Amino acid sequence: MTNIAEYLAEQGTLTYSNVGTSMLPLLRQGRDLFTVRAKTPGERFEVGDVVLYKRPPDRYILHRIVEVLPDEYVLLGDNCLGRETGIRDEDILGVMTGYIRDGVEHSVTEKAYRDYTARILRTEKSRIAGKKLMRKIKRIVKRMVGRG
Amino acid sequence: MKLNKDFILHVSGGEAVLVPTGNAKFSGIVRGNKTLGAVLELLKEETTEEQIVTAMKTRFDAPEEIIARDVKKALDGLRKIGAVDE
Repeated sequence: MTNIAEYLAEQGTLTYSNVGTSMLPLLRQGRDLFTVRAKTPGERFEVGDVVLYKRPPDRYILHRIVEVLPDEYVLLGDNCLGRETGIRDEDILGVMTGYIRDGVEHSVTEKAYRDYTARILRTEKSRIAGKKLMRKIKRIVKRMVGRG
Repeated sequence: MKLNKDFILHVSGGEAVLVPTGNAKFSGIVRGNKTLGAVLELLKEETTEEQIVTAMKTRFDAPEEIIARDVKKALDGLRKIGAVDE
């Protein structure tokens, strides 16, 4: 059976579904699809690009680049708390060119998407701080409810 | 029968792509031509093999037995990956 990396290399593009909540609110599991274009030789990516990379042994991750370093990228899912470091060019299989929401195709060149990306990048710190605070509050509430 | 809810159908440029969500056991990708795309579109609503063949007869200029054979083949393939709820 062909795996995702082989399929992408053969076909040039891949339309697939995501698993999990790490790219919310952009990609909703079980409802949305994304399209990825295969990386071209020597291609480098920019902050804001959503890239598909392979995490050994066999996990495929679609997250956004938040920092470009000389030899690696730093990635973060739109709904994640922790940055992923050490992602090298050779780990990246392709870049997202669009997504399909409620049956409608959207390109990453659309203004609405570009505005969304800018907002996601701009609010990284406050988003993460807010999520951490919410987690803490939930834990405290759970503990209080547990005590009865 | 109906398309299983754990699969998402997308038709683009005359090509049908059927993608499993994280809940499906199948983890590949199904790509097909207009015929498969038409079968999958019909499977979005509750239907039967006979109804699909009848609908396909109005769309494609081909003998009924050929259409029936192609529909059966498509459905068998979809059943194999769990994409059809009977």
